[in-house]
Order: sequence, then C-alpha cells, then structure tokens
Amino acid sequence: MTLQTGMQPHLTATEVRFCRHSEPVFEPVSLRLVGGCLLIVTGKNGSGKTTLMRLLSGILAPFSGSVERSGSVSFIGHRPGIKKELSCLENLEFASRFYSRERESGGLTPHQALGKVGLGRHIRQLAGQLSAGQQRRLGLAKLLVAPTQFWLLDEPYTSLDVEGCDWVDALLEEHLSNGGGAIVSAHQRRPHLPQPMAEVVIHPWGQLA
Amino acid sequence: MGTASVSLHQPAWALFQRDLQLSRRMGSQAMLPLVFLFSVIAMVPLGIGPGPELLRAISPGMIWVAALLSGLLALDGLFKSDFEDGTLEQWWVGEQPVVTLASVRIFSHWLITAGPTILATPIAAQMLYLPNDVLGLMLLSLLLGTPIMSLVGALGAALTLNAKGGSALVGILVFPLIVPVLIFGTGAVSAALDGLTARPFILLLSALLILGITLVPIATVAALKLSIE
Repeated sequence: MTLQTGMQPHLTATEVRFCRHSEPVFEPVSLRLVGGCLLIVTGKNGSGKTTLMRLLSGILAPFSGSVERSGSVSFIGHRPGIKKELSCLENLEFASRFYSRERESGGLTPHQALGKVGLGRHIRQLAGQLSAGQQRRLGLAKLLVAPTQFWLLDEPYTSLDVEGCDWVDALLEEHLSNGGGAIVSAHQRRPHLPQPMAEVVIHPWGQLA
Repeated sequence: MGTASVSLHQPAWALFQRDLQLSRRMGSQAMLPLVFLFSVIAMVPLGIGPGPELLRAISPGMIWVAALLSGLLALDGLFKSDFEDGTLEQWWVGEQPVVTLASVRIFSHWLITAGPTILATPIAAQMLYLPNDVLGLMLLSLLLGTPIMSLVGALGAALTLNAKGGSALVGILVFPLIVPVLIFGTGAVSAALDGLTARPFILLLSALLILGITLVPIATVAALKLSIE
C-alpha cells in the first residue's frame, strides 16, 4: 500500500447529519482521516456510532453535509458479512473478487490471509460452524485479501479474546505504518498502538452539553 | 487501463458464482419449488378426477398456477439472508455497479428456483395429458413469464425486507402484479389448444419481460437502499 503522489487520499466528513424517522440521530459530525492516522469514534450506546460508520462507508447517504472519499474504503460492521453456508476459503475467495474498488497492491491470497488470522486449520470448514470470535476473525480477514486505503471497523473487538484483540491491534499497526488510515468505533476496549490517534465523540441529538 | 471493463464485471460474476455455490450447499431447500410444483400437479387429478378431457383443458392453467406459486414461495430467500448476515450492505461499500449486482442476483435466483421447474415441466405436462404439440409453447411461455415473476417478486422482497411478516406481505404485494403474466401465459397455451394463434400472448409476455428487465433492477436497488437504512 503506497501513497499516491500529489493529492493525498483522505476521507472527510463535513457537518454530517442523519435523520431516522425525521428525527436527527446525532449532533453534526465533522472529521478528516488521512493515511497513517487512526480515529476512534466513541459515544454512549445508541448515540449513533454505527450509523456514522455506515455513513462514512457509503452504505447510507447523509441527510445534510457531505462525505468525501478520495481513497478506497472497506467496512466491517457488527455483522461480519460472511456467508455461513460457505467455507472459510470460499468466503475469502468471494471477497477477493467482489470488491471492484481501486486495488491496492499487497493483497494476500485467501490461504495466506486465513493463516494470518489464525484460521489456517479451518480452511474447509463452513463459516457457520465457527465460534463468534472466529467468525469475526474471518470477517476481518477480508481486509487482507481485498486491501484498501481506509478501514472502517465497527466495534472490531466484540467477541474476541485477549489474544484476538491484540491481534487486531497488530493488524491496525501494520496498516497504519504502511500508510493506510483507519476509523475504529469502540465503547469498551481502545486500540493500543504506538501511532497517533484522535478521538471523535458522538453526541446524541439535543444532548450536547 | 485495459482491464477496466473486466474489473467492472468481476463483482457481478463473483456474486453469480457465489449464488450457485450457495444453492448447491443448501440442497433440499433449493428443491422446494420443484417439490411444490409436483405436489400441486399430482393433487389435481385426485381432486377433480382423472378424466383426460378435463385435465387436458385445465393443464396449461394448472401448470402456470403451480409454477407461479412455487416461485412466490422462493422469494423469501432472495435478499433476506444477505441482508441478515451483512453481505447485502457491502454492495454499497466500494465502487461495485449496484444495479448490475441486483440484476445478477435476480437472474441467479430465477435460474436456481425457476430453472428446475421449467426443466420438470415436460413431466408435469405428461401427468396432466397436455398434448405434446403444445409442449414447446408451454415451455416458451414459462421461459418468458417466470423471469417476470422473479423480477416483480424481487421488487416486493426488496420493499418488505425490513418489515415484520415480510414474506406474507410479499405475497400480497406481488400477487396482483403477476396476474397479467398468468393470463397471458395460460392464454397462449389455451389458444394453441383451441387451434388459434398464440402469437399475441407471446408478444405481450415478451414486452412485459423487456419492461421488467429494464426498470425493475433500478427500482429494486432504490428499495433495497431504503430497507438497509
């Protein structure tokens, strides 16, 4: 993953609002992410962290304000986005071919990625037979087979053990040192990384102190 | 870049292959429309009597009704499982051509659910004494009509993705819209049985199919987008 010369890729949100049932979800959010940086999105339960992540990834369109993406983006949500009826390998083979984003170099093969996320012995196993933590690892392995500039990870530590959490940190650290950027939403564990990180706090609508 | 057109189609191709993989994996569930079709066809003579004259007269209608209902039965799986496991929302992450993806999803669903039904129709036709000389027309009308069913059904399934009791709602939504398909499809074969030309019915079915192929994927994407919010 190398930075292009000239215009630096960035992910910028300007005064983004989102309405659900004609009710604003959170106070307007502005943020800017560039390569090498990590943003942590925090906020109370129900404050709209997931909504913000889905807005940034392009799944939702903002009600007002704008989201500008000048680099490739991947999003791993609460639901890991894997098919339970397919094997781990088949899931990753699909992921490596599905995303027609601007390909970043350095993508791993599905076999390599499975080895790296600790599922090397479950290659042929159906994803539905994995534990919740293993399914999350499989979901994160998609980041390795279809590499992008910016990672948007919604609560990546959920249902992972201590070792798994450290492993996510290592993954993030490698991504950042390669010039990528990441936004991680978290309400319990925070990433422990040497790189600089900034915090974005989401305030539910009408509750800004 | 020379590979640009290839990479644009690659997501759609990947999705198509995944759908075939999934249908093989699901096995018995994928056979459900076929089982339904034969249950109906086998029950008809038991219910209304085995007389060849009567069965021959109603066979086009019975096969059409069974094919449409079995298609309706399968609609629930069109977007629901992808929606629930989070793979559907990934369509909008990145630069995938979403309308193409929707078209491919509808096509693969039609192939998996209606394909076996159409292939099995010659057997069903024998069971109901449908004359062999109109069998070709029967197959042609199904080949044109069942994709319309899948297209209209996809729109219904996309609209009700987030609704409670979605599958019942899909039936109510889709039912009135596929009545023309049933009328034209049955009409074509019945006309041929009576020695009349089936051409107008076939042309009307073709027109409906073309209309569906051009408009439904766009509307489906809009409906999906509403549902995933």
